[in-house]
Amino acid sequence: MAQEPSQETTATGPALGPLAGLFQEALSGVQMTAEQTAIDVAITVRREDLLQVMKTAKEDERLAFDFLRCLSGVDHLDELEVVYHLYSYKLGHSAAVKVRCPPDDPHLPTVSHLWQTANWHEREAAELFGFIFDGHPDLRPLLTEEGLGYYILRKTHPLAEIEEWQEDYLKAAEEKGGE
Amino acid sequence: MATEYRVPHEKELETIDVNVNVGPQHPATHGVFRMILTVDGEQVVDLYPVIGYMHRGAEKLSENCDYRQAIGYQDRTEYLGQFNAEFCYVQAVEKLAGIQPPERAEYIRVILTELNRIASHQMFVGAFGTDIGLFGTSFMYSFRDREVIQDLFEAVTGERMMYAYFRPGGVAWDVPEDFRERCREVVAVVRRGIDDIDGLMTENDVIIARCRGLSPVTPEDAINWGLTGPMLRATGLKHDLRRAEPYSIYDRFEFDIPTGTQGDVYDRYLVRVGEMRQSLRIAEQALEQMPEGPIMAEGLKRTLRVPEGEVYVRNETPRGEYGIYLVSKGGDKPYRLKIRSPAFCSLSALKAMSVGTYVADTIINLGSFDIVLGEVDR
Repeated sequence: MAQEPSQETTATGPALGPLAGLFQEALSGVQMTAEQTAIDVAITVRREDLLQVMKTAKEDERLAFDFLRCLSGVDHLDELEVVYHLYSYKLGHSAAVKVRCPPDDPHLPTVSHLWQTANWHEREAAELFGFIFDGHPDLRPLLTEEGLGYYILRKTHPLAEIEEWQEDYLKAAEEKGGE
Repeated sequence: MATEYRVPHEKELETIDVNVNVGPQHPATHGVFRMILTVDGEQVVDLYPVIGYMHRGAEKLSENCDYRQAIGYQDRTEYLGQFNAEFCYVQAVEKLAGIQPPERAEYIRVILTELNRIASHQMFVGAFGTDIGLFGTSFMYSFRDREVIQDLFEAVTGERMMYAYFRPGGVAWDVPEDFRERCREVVAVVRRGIDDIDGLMTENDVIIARCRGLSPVTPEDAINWGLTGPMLRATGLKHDLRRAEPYSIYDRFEFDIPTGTQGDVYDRYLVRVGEMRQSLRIAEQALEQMPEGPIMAEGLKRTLRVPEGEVYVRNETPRGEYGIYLVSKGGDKPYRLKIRSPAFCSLSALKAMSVGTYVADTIINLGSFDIVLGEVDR
């Protein structure tokens, strides 16, 4: 399956790649906006449609994204965003799907039943950004201690005064435990 | 009358599953990695991997320093394939900032990256042999040659581990005058070394007996679990990012993509040894074609400011697809830098691949992942 570089993956510049059209074709009726990043096409969808979009992205013959290569959280201050980078081994193209949610209601549906690899990616995003992936089988933290109470990759989390933060946190935890 | 042996009834003999803790400080876990095995006799029935001991917040730190300072964190993340990680990062910055590095810089990068891939695989071969029970021999062989590569890197960058040599727009300074000759020597030495390792391990009965057929993976499962790089190619899928989505100048070189057939531990070893030979081929071709000229793009400011945008750059590193997702909102710092760590994704499949095997085989299986904990925990 040595694939020749396809048009979709090497296309650069402001012109939208053909994948954006394919997404619209496969998902008629779903509200989405497409933009061209430096390499991939990025599709932004609403949170309600995410599950349907991902299911179609994986199962539709024209898209056939069988591999979730990366899942990243981004904190835009007013909104949180999750970016799913998808790749198709079958067709050799790649795209990104983005979804946004408010920081005080960070619920998103899980995609770990579609791609097993999403399991750890989602756990990581959950512990570092505070997302709650509904339906995830085991959302325990991976990298940090359990129950930190704060999300270190959010922009509001300070970089320099972390020592003080931890002291406050420990004090609060002690008081809580003592009651 | 034959002796009557007393056979205990099921009711009398009570068996329970026992938890066995491996790591975090254990040589077989290749760093600070811990796994909690639940064993039924010798058989593993459950495995819970514990990571995060080396979590230093490399992503957060990178978001709080400027584009050139963040290069150093890439070395510290992928500390066995430092050039590979740097390469991916500087490409991401270049894509966003619209910088085109000069030809000579591209060639220097490719040569060093490919040699780094060999150095990383040498590490794997050495540690893997030790896991299986070759004790020190494989380590001695592979480290003898790894040292030659390290010496070359030291001559070029002045460092043995944290190089920080690639910059957005080129490389920090030009290579020494005798670089070409030294590289050729290194290539010759390493080629002989690979033959030595081949002779020691590939046809070794012990290794075949222990690794053939252990934890086989189908291509479908590998894709689903997010395995990339040698782990994926061992299943027989011929997919290499240098060929499938060529970046930098990789479309100019001829090389084969070694693949396995069964996706088992032995295939993963074979693929890596094959890859070392291919990397030598690429390095040789690059040495042949390397032009003279500038090593840094012109007109770059002291402080690099990158226009708004985002990019996901992926490179083929020794452990698989290494990705940098870089979001810029203008200014001199990355707004978001996410590292897609190949070892992290492979490790998430460890449980599924280990359940049902024996305890001793779990160690070999983990060794065949070739994990770098700095990259897993970031």
